[in-house]
Amino acid sequence: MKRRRLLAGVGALAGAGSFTLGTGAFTSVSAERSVSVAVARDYRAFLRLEPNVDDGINGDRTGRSSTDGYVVDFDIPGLDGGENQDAEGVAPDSIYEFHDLLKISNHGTQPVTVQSEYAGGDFHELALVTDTGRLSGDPPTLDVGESIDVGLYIDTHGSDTGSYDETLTVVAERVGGNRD
Amino acid sequence: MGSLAAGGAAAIGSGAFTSVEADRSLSIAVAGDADAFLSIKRATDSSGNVYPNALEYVEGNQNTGTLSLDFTNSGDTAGSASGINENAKTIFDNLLDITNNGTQDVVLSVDSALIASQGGFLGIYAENSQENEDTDGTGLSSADTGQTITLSPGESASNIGIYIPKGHSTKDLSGGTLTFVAEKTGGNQD
Repeated sequence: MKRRRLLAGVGALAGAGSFTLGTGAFTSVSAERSVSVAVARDYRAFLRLEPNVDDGINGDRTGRSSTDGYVVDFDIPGLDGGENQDAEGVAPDSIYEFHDLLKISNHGTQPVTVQSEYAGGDFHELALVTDTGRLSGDPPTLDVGESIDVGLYIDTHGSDTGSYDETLTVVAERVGGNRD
Repeated sequence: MGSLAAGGAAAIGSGAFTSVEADRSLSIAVAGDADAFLSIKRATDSSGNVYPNALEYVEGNQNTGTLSLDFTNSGDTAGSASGINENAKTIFDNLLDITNNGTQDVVLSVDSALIASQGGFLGIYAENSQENEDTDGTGLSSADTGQTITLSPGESASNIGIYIPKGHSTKDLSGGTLTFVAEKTGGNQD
């Protein structure tokens, strides 16, 4: 008798175990779902980046901002004929601003703040700038469909002469941060 | 993994991009003062010869290509005098030429605590803007004082000089900085 009861007890425990599994607490399930993510060119993305057509010498383009058809980039001095050919670059120990090089527009569905981040490199600071100052700290808000013209802020204090390839990160973030 | 991917698809499907970070590249050349967008060179005469004052008092940094003014008389020119007369107004003519190598008209001004109109005692002027050279603190100064000169692309503020009024000496100049400011005509507003 005693032994049988013990067996029954074990059985009940096993039953409890399988009941727990039955709640759907699976350890591993593989279910493939398709995610469709389109990678658009800069000028068609949610955060749209378009080089401005700027007038240089004789009304020609300076080519300080350009696109290869996919992403925009910047060249100082500019690559096109409208650039002043006597300028070989920015000077050390200076702060240069080149305004209105790029148009940034919000083609998402919510207002976003736009700012730039520079991880460091050969310059004291690099940033996007508008007529009211650098896009950092207190960045401007772009409503849906809105756009701003931004340029480059280049601080060369401590830089030697030379040619440098740098990266600037454009950050657009939903107003109120990333909390959902 | 599967459910995570599905969640991601839902978020994207709502069209609400929460955050975008896009890295974009820049290639930037840093040139010496002479070849920069705002070119600063030793003053030259119409034949391109550097003026003696510019040779004597304008120093170049080999590494950065930047210029500085040095009135301590380190003896660049043989037989040059030492120091300046006390109790006399001293003029250092023809030190620098500043050229707009940009693509737009700019207003050139100078910010410096050394300049008379900005709390100092020094006067700075360009030959082509020196109508008031005899008045302390005028000639070329900050945009606030209106003592500026407008330069079209390719145009220069030529033969920039400095004068030190009576009662001051070059010793008072130690450690000072002149900041040349060139701003698009009409300021930064478009």
